[in-house]
Amino acid sequence: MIETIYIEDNIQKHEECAAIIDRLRPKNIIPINHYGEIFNRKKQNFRLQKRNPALILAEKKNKFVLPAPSGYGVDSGENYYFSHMLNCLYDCRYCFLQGMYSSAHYLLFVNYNDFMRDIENTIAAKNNTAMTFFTGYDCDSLALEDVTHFAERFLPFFAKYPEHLFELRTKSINIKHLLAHPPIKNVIVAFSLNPEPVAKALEHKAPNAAQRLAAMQKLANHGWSIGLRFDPLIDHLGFEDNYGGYIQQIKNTLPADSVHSVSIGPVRFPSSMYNAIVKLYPEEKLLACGLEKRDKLISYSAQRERALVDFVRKQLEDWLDSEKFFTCMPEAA
Amino acid sequence: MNPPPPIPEGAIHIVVALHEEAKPLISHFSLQRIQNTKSFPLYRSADEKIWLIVSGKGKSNSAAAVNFLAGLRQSFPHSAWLNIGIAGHRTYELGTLVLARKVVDETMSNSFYPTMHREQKLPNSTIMSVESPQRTYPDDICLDMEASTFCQSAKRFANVELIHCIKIISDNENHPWQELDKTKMLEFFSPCLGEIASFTKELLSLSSIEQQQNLEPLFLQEVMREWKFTQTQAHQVRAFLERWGALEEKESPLELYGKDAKSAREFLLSLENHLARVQLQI
Repeated sequence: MIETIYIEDNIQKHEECAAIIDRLRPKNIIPINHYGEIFNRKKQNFRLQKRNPALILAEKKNKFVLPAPSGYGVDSGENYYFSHMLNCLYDCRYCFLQGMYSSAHYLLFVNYNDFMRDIENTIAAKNNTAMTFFTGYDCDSLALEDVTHFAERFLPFFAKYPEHLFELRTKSINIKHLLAHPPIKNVIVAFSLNPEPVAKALEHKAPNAAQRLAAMQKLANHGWSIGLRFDPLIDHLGFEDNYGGYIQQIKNTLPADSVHSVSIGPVRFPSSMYNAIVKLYPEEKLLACGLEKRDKLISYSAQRERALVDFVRKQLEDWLDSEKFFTCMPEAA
Repeated sequence: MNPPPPIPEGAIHIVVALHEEAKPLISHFSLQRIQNTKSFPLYRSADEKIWLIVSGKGKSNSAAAVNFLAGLRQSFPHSAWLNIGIAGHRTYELGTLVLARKVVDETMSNSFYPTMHREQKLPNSTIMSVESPQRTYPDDICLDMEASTFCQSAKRFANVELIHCIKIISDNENHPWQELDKTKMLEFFSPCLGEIASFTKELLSLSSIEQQQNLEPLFLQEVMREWKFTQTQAHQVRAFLERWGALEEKESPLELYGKDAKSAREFLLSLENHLARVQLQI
């Protein structure tokens, strides 16, 4: 429930803003000059803000489309991402957003048309090279769909470029708009997945593992391509039983040909980000055990990382072709 | 055996301009005057969670009072800050309690936006701080004489989520400030004391969360006494002991690794290896 909306003065009359206010009917609407006055200010406590984030409506001026970070892509081609929103409805304890931004407010850029124009320019500049565009790097792609209508606005746009892939990464089960839309061959709905004990312990406010599986099943039955994202893998006592069991459920539920790709990656933090997150949640066990410092990364040992990735991959290899597997091992920034 | 860590309860620093505004609050919160402060009258509750300072009227006094109290309370940097006072508004009824959602100054361009917390149910408004009482009231803005510098000063010492202003409407278009009788301040404040107390409690709760985030880890003092650490190592010790605490390890790391370690470095390495070996239990 979003009670407060901050709106930049220059977009007070933007049609998306009017529509969002109409959908949310917030208790407080507060005009601001620039989103930085709220989002980028010094001395914020992310943890306190996360108790009741506000929505900031702003206009993005530049850098709409960016090269995807290392380890984020699902093929060796050109990978890009764009973020119509910064910050997430969910509160996953491993999430890098906690260490990335000093504010927990949702920052929504309402000038969707400018994002589309920049994607078109990026495509045109690369002259027919196949590309993948990701959403859901700085926010969940679907969690706030009822407010943002992001997918509703972008799906027809994605359909115009069948030679390029578009991935909506999510943990959300808010899929009614996708189910109301004919599937688009070049759009992947990619779910971040962890077995229920991990989801319950660490993915606060997110749909549980069974709900995500049910959402994937509905989408697959409707004809959408599904991405399975075991990223980040969380090592814990019972790792093999929990991941093995959940993967078996997935195999029993989804048709193999509905799965576009699988990416697998263990939890890793750039050390500065790790320190920022520990400062917010010093009592969090995830951040306290099993991790070591390697160069500028905080991660499991290389040997343990390999074992985790190999285990998950092995559970899926008899079900999916090997070209569908991708390993995510981002390097420190 | 280490004593259990203190339970964080938070603290709040209340800044008011006038004695007449302070009196009902002092009485409601049962505050006691601290005798040895001459610059500003200062009061606190017996449990030292609530502090109240009387700044005097105007922006510079408000800023000075914040700086003074922050200096005095350096050992407790996680306190919330609350400016309580009177304000004018064109149409609001006298006695209306208003929470600031945006604080501006008539002479400065930068604004301060207090964070709107879920628990608060008070009506909110923009507050503009002015140098002197105004003859006319702008549209839908409360006028006061302290909030802007209070916020700008307080944010040097506290995170923005912990800084708030609440104002009680003392004058409006029908009852201009010239009619204001300070002796009747109690009439404005008394009906609002319940709401103010409730808001104060919420801020204490936020302060306690921040205090909890910054608690000194268990065993830190005894480890620091045992070895001589470089500055970098001292940071590492703190980080490792925070992790040690998160894992709810009961035994002192000194007892486990202190005897065998030949140096501070060896001790740190043992601690690091221990933490890397522990597997998450969920």
